[in-house]
Amino acid sequence: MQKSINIFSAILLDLFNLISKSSCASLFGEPDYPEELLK
Amino acid sequence: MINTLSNLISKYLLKNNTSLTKTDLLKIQYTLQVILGDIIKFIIIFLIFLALNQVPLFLLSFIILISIRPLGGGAHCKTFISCLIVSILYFIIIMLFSNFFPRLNNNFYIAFFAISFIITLAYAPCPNEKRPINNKATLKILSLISLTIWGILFCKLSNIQICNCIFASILFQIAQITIVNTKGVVSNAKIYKHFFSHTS
Repeated sequence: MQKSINIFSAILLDLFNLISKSSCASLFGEPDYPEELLK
Repeated sequence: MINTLSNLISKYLLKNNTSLTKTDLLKIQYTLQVILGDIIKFIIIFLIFLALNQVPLFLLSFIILISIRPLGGGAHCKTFISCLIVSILYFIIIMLFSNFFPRLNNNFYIAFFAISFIITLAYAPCPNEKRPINNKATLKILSLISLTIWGILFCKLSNIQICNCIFASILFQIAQITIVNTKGVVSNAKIYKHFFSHTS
């Protein structure tokens, strides 16, 4: 179970890196980007 | 609902994975919001098109959209509901266009793809007012490659529905890139205010 959680977290963080490199994360709407990550 | 679910999942992950930092938590929350939002939108639009018996056309326009929009960018909506409405309208317009628009002169399509290429070269990717885009050169190249591939497929295919679907999808994308870029990010807010009262 612990291993699955670690893998799932890692996949989500990798997906974040991929999404951040795209011009548009979603189809026609994009959730507000966390302000803390803009600093 | 999406935010609540994302927060719940990310907090569960944080609790059970001690190596995660607060920044990681924010990144995971954001990613979950994007994924869950898109899954819900996809299911709703898929069901609408299933009822209309137009699933293949929806899937084609969806594939075209996901191959050009994440690279070239475009207009955004403020809320999930307005985004969903615009997405539904987008796919319905593409479907109607694909089914009923006649095949035009080949010279028109050549001119269209040439202009689209020039606009993409000049303006893609669209500025994103919610976050900075750091790899503009890569996104521009990928946008041009994507556009070229769809242009080649358009020329090679003889099915009028598929060709119209490609044409309409690219037309929408090019129109968005042009409007967002020529008006700029600041004026962009005004466009949204006037045309999409629920968009940002």
